[in-house]
Amino acid sequence: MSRTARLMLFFLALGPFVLACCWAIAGLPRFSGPEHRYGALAADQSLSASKINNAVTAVTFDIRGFDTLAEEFILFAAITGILLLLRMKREEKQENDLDRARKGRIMFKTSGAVVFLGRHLMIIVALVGLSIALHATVSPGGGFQGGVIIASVMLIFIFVNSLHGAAEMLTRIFEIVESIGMLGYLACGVCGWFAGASFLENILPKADRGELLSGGLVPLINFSVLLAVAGGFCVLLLEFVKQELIHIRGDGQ
Amino acid sequence: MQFAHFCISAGELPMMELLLQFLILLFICAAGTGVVLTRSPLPQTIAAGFYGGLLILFFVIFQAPDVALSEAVINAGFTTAIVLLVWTRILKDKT
Amino acid sequence: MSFLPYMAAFYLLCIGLYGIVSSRSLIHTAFCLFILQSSTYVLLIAIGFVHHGRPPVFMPGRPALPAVDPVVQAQVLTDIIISAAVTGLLIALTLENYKRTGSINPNKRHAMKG
Repeated sequence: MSRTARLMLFFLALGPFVLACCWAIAGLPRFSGPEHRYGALAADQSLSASKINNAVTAVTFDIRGFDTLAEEFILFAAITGILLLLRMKREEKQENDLDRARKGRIMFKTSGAVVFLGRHLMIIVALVGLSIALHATVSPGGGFQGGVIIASVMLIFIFVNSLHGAAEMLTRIFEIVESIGMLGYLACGVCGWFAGASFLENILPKADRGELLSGGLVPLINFSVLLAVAGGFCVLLLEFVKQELIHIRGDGQ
Repeated sequence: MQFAHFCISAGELPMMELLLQFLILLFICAAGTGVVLTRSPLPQTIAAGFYGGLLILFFVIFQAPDVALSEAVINAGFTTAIVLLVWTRILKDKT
Repeated sequence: MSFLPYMAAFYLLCIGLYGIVSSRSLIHTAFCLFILQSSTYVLLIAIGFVHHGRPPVFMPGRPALPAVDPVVQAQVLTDIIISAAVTGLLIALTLENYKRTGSINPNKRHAMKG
């Protein structure tokens, strides 16, 4: 279908769609109204049964833990898809620095300021990400956010160093980390079966509210999610960077 | 601890909350239109980063700090990096 | 005013759809898909808002004030992270398409062949 035909079809369908949207909006509950029964129940359960201060973490990992497991699988499948798409095919060849020098391409030298800042930032950002990830039960944060912050440490690492042959090894390492995270989540779920309860039931003893390791199974699930997300996004970044020419650092850095 | 008494939360001024919500929704709609109408990839990356920043403010104003944190780390650090990596790869073949 | 967030969400939906339909570059399509997804976040978070509500993170010493809905926030949180991976998949498809056909224009006929 050509672009103009597509646009005409879109504008033709836009009228009834907008009418349907207005009808739908009129049927929604009033904005900032008080009728949030499920939300109130969830917050109540997070305080009384799960004993977690952060109600969003309780909902993600305890009350709706099965949904989060399914979303982990979506993440895993998307990253596997990217790995499959971007693998080296028969007709491609990884260009190394000698080939590039022979072809006369411009080679970039990473500036000294970037290297200096990056080296010191890497450890700070990694610690901040770890802190946000592990304080899931007491403050806003959790395994998902902390995992992505740790993956951005990999981004800084790519800018600061040249990868040379390390890209393959790093990809293998982070693939293993991601798989350990996924299997850890499943293992936490299977724990319930061994105790005679249902899958992903919160069977471990719960500490008092406000402690770091409160919530029973939630800190373990949180740590598995941290490993899975950090490993997955690191692999993603490395795959995209391997597609591109690798920078080399200038001498004397 | 004493400093906390001087901070007025937005919820205690009656019109402030509504004004903030109205303004942020207006800015989000405008920024969204801007992102869609920008055709070239590099300016669109910057526009999308700005849109992500406005989304973070939206999540904070609507009392959702977890979601704001999540959006911050994903949008600014990740989507921009991936799109720029692929775009430089495509550009290298064009030059 | 009481329907403004919902109208903003539907407006973002429409403008994202228009961007996807009328796009000339697959990277532009990926960004418009991001706008489309963010319209659902706006809708969900607006549905969960409670008048004079506080964030659903409870501090030990304070009384339990009315908190906004934590269930929608949990859904949006995981959704944002997953959408980043799906955007990565889309960009990888763009790159592979470019390597095979030399263009990132979705309107070219040969771009969609096997």
